[in-house]
Amino acid sequence: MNLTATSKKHLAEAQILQAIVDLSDLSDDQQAHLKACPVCMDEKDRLDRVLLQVGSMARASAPTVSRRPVFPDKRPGFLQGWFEVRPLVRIAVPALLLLIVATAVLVIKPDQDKHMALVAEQMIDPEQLLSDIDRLIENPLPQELQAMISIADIDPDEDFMEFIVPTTENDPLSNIPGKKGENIC
Amino acid sequence: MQKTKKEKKIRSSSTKTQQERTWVKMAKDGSREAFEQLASHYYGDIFRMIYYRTQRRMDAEDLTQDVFLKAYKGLDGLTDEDHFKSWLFRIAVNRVRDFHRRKKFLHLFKSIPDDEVDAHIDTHAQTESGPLEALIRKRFLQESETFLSRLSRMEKDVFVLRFMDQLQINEIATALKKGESTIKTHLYRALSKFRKDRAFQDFLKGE
Repeated sequence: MNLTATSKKHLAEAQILQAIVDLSDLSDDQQAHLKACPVCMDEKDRLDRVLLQVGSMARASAPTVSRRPVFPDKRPGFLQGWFEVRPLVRIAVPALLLLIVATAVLVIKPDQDKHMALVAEQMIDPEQLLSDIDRLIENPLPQELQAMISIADIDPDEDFMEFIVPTTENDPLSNIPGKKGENIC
Repeated sequence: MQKTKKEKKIRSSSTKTQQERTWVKMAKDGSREAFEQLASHYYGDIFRMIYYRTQRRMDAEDLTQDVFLKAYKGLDGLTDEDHFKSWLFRIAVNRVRDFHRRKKFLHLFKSIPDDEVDAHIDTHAQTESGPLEALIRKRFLQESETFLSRLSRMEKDVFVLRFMDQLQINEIATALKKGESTIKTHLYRALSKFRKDRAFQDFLKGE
């Protein structure tokens, strides 16, 4: 094949490498040139031979296999094989299930309680609510504390009250004018 | 004459592919014998592929057994029978990555001597061939290791799969789960570096 005027220029190093990677990546002109030009073809062939040598040397330099593969008699089913291939799965799956259950107990249950409380709140009788408010106005203490202070219901006698809160009229040391007692000032 | 040779090659390759597809189908249906045929066909390739990534025969043998066992158990996951080879290489690539990850993790807790690799290469080279061949093999392993150490992980994977394991671009793309254009880009970069490595090239040319 004759080289046309446009394809007379030899292929660059990069194009030779491109041809080795994949010949079809070169343009039609470049492919035509490579086919027709002995210089470029020789360059490509030399590199190809060296690279083939890599393969044959690799083949020759690797040791021969002394063992033969051993396979179980029966091929396991998909799931069985999956579990065997990934031993961690045997630990991870129960752990994951446990985590899901724990999450359900800790997160979902409180939510459910909140929901129930809301429903109960809505179900409260307004009259009942009003009577509760009245009761709280009368006695704001909870029932447990009410039992403890029930002693306060006892009507204290006057002497006791006098002892607790003495009146100023009987105070002998009163310095207020017009009041009983000796003025020491 | 040349055309006839090429036609014969294509016909033989097509028969091989058809035979392989039949074995894969039979193995998927539960035939252990069919899978053993596939295993004996690819065992050497997978072993070699792993050996060049681990540099230790014992590890390579263990991992190869592991790869085939995984493939045997996971055959149902293979959707296209025509891609058995690249699917197998994908398992091997992942297995080797796991191996290196575990090794790195172990290095955190205890030191594994680096000369273990070289010691093994010597042993293999001396026991399986004559002294000159052993020397050439040892030199090849050293030169290839030096060259591969200059490549990025992806470039290394692609170069080794293409030229040492002799996989096609589409097979490499399936094995590494990447697009073909990505594979080509990395291969191009690896080849550019290969062109600059005169020592490795001269060794391969026998100079």
